[in-house]
Amino acid sequence: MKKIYQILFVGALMVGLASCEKEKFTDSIFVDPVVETDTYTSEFDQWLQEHYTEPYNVDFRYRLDDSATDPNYNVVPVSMGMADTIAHLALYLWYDVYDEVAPEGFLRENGPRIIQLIGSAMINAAQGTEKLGQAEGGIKITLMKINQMRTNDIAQLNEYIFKTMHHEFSHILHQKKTYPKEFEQISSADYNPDGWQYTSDVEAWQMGFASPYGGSQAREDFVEIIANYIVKTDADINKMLTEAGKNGKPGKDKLERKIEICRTWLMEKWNLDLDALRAEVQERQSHLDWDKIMNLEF
Amino acid sequence: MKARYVLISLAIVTLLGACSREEKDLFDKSAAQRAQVALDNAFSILTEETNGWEMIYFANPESEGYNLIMEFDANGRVSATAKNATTTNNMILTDESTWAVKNDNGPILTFDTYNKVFHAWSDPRDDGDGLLGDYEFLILHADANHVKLKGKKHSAYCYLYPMESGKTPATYFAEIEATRTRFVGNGNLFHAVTPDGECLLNNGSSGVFSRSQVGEKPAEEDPELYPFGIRTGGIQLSLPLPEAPDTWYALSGSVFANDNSSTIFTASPAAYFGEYTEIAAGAWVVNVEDINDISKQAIDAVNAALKKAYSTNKKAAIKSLAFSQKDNGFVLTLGYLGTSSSKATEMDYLYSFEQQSGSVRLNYLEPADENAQKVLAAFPSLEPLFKSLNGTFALAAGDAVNPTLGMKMTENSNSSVWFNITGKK
Repeated sequence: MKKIYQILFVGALMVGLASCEKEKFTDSIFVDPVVETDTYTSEFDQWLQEHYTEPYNVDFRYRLDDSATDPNYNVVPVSMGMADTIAHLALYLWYDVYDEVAPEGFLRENGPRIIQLIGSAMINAAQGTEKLGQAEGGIKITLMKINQMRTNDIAQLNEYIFKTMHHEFSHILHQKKTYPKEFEQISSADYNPDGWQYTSDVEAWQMGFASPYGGSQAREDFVEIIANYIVKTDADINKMLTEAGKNGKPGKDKLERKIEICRTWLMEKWNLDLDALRAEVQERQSHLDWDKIMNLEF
Repeated sequence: MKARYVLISLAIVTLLGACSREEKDLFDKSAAQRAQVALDNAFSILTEETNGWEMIYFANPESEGYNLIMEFDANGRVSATAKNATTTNNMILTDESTWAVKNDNGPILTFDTYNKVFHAWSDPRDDGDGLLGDYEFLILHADANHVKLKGKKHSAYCYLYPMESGKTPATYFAEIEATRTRFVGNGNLFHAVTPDGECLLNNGSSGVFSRSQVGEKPAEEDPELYPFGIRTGGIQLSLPLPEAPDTWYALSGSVFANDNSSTIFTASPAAYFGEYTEIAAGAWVVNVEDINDISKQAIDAVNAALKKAYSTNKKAAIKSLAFSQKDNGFVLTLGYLGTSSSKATEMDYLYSFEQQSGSVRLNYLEPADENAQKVLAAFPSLEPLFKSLNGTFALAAGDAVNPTLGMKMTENSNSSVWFNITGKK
């Protein structure tokens, strides 16, 4: 009799659990994507399929679904023209850079699965802040304010797009493999989640942060160090370190220690050479040849 | 033994949890099929209108209605054209982008890539809000005659109607401007007369009516707002009035009427002269160039006195006469050029004002203050002028749809005493 109860229980449990089986991911999460061939956007959609989805396993989204944005903010979609430009530029200054420097398949395996472009920033007027990008669950990177980009202004492009991409991608990486505790301890007393926006660049540097936002919390500090180190020119980095150490301030020492921790972590955890990555970015952004970029001749 | 019951109960609960109960279909198609039918229907209707659509776009529930010309292609391209002071600096602008219909708890119309014409109302600008305009809409109704939308985030209703064939954007927007001036220019106010009551619709020139009870001003705090848009043939409300369910009122003779004419918006009640000054805070400007002979002679006499007193100012003369309601009563404001050749000096003179059946009775009383008294003492010929406007006057509007554009006041017992007035806000 006892055995019958046990069989009944196990049987019922199996039937119940069968309905909870998780789907398994294949190599690509975009299995047999269909690009419609007779629409206004077919040509661009096909191009994205060939240059993003197939090689990098990423869905490059330029059409905006408002339900996928934070309802507390008002945003607008990106223009098709800017989406096209940024898609080409991101290949040149981001994806192709990792192809050159990172281990084979690095982005296909670890890169974001979705890149969403949004035309405007998410503006919080009450706090005087604007959100330029965000990473969600190691899967999606949202880039904002794209409609306002000046394509000949690399400083602006870096500030609003590529620094944001490195920033958000670094979030994805540390969400997969935690960064060292010793990083958090360097500035543990100085993080200010509510008041960081009232800090100037120089004040932030002198506290050991690569930017005011880096002073908001440790994980933002970590990714801001990486992102700023990659996109800032030698002159900008030197200026930051010089200002950071003026008047006996501890910023220079802290920044150098943080950069070293990031450098080591990327190499040990991801086999990624931060300085090689930076050198490739610096070399490419020093000459933006738009004819070549738009024809993918790089 | 107790453990066995627990074990069995647990097993049964687990087993039943995996079952989904079949529910009896209430519809002949599944929810997904019905959603797809709605999407296909909306797609067909929007793309099959070859002349494009006239869209009355309300960015949010407190926004006036803006006019757009929308053309939807079956391949996902949309063209938007607009001309207004808020987003296009009164230039006709057109831009192309993408659109789609999709399912999201109902059929949704979305404009999902940036269109500098259409998304101008949605751009958050520096304050994070901008004009709070939507670009994703629930499709509430779609047929070949009209489409009704509701903004997904800010909840304003918008309306699309087929464009007339052969109408260029320049022609269309010129007609809209002319119609706007005719219907609501100068702050026209309407009586909404419905089977369930009557109300006043004020502040028409702003594109957003303030509703009030007849004889009452709109509330200063939290006024009841009813945004509207202009079409060449009538007025499109965003929301229906409490007294009537309709939102579209076509011009029919000298009133706007809903489809069965049970509700009308009328701008030419006998009480209009007084309501315009008391409720709408407007002024009636007297045309001093085209006026009855007695008043004309009085004006000439005053002008001669002014020129004599201000001999160094060749422009010294009466510039304006306007009736309005002020804190101290119903006044005629005299504007004249004296010491200044460009800036008119203004003085108020009190009148009694009485609304009678179909007529207005005016009677000059006295200067409204000490300064006005001094001016009257300096220029005694003013008094005959003021008294020349006394009488009981019948009013005739040049355009009964909008009396503020011009009314003629004629003395009931002496038709040679008349003057023309224009509303000004």
